[in-house]
Amino acid sequence: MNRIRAFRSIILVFPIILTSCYSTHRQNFDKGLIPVTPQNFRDVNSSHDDFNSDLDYDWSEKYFTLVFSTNRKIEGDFDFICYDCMAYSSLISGKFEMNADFRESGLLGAINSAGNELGPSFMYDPANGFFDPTQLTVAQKRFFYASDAEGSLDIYWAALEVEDNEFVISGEPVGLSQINSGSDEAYPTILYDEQAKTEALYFTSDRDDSFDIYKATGNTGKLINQSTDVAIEKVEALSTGSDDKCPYIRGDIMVFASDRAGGLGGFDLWYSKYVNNQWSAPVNFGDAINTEYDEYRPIIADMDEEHYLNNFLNDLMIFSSNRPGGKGGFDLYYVGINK
Amino acid sequence: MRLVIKLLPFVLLLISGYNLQAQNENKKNIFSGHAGVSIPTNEFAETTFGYDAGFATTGGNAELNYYRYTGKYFALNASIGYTAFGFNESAYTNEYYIALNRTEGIQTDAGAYQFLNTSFGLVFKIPIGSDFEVLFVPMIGFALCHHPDLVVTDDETGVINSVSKDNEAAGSAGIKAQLNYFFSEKYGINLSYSRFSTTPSFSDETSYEQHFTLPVSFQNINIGLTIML
Repeated sequence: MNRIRAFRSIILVFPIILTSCYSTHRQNFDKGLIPVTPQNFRDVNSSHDDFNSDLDYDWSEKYFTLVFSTNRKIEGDFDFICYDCMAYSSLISGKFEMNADFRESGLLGAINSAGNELGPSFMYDPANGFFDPTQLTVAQKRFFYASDAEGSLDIYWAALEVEDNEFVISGEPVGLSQINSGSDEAYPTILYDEQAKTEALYFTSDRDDSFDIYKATGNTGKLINQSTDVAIEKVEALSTGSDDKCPYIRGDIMVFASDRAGGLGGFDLWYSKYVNNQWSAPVNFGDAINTEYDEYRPIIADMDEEHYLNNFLNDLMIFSSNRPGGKGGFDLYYVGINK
Repeated sequence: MRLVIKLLPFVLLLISGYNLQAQNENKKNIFSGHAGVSIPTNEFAETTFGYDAGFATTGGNAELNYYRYTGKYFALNASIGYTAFGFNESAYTNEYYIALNRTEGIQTDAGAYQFLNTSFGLVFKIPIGSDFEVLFVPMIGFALCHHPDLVVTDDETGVINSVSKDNEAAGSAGIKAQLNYFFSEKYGINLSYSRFSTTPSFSDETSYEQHFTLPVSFQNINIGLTIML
């Protein structure tokens, strides 16, 4: 009987001993930290101009796809290319890495033309939930961009569908005729008003001489690309007599580029907050990010609970700049900004 | 494993009690108390962002021992000791500057590591002349371990690391060499060198894993008094 008890004790204690062998180390960072000084994204840059990016999260929630314009293939012709990227931060050493691998994309192959493609923008259908990479359904995602294939820059959109675990274009890209004019329109980005159930598409246009930021409000309950009566107005709070370009909205923050007075020279990056249905006075990102050279087309990856990047203490901003020290022309840079 | 280690001292006590009864005719009781400097070793003393680096600074300790001799050369030992170490805030901050390629704007605030260690050991005595003796004491026991509050603040981002103070018990092991000099029949002074190690598991609610194990090892150099009853 005693032997049986002893045997039982051994059986009970053995798993405890085994499980106790698992140990974890003290982490010196509660969450990852993206460097707060701009870093050249060398994995994706070339000696040509690389700019105008947007990113899209992968189903796996561990990677994101970066789409941007480059003239590396044909001199003078900007086309979209894409890279699979991964942001990684060691919680023990604090070392941050951004790795990227080039990927051929059927979606971009169908969109690129003999003209210039600029300002890519992945959008989600708010009626189906704005952002849930694990629950992605067909027709939930749209791709907006600008192209000058027919003369001036116009805004186009394309519905996306999933084919062989990859997004492909569904049908042909369609110009937003409600918004496009004989002037340039580019850099579309959408703010969804949950109360009014309307989509407002912000974009830049030189229809009033200099480039300014405009807002096109769609019909109630309809996507902007489904809306027939679109009200367009210049956003005076964000526009000046200088060029104000590349608006990009994430949450209640808009980041954009402007060569307005008060900057450090050339185009600088600015941000504004959407509070009480109004855009606050733009704030310059300062000399930690801006230089006397051009900083252009900023985008933000907001690290909310839905995203794989939610284990970071700050948000990721990617922008382009022709500052010295790059690979040549405009290069893409990344930097951590406060949430 | 922690359960087994916690039970081991009691098992040892039972065995020692049996031994004491068997050798009652050699009964001899000695008490000693000593205090001195505690020096962290191995990972516990490391001051770089590696695995398990403790960033502990030199501290102090005090210890009480009871020896029960079971023969001329052997005894059983029970001891209780308290040890405290500072946390190297400047070295920790400096590691953040290196990691983040910065030179300013980061502050570290931390308390002190503290350990209350209870050990039981076997004593091997080597008499040297009539007044001196050297004791070798391998010990096992358990330690109540205290991890201090630790907060690292970045002027740019806010709090980038925090560990709330936590107390955990863990098994411990140690070895001690002690030189006793008896200047009378009853009283003496002692000089001792000992090493201890333990591996407590602390909680860290703000980290991804929410807990971590910290290998703790240190050496004590003490002087004190010995009383023979």
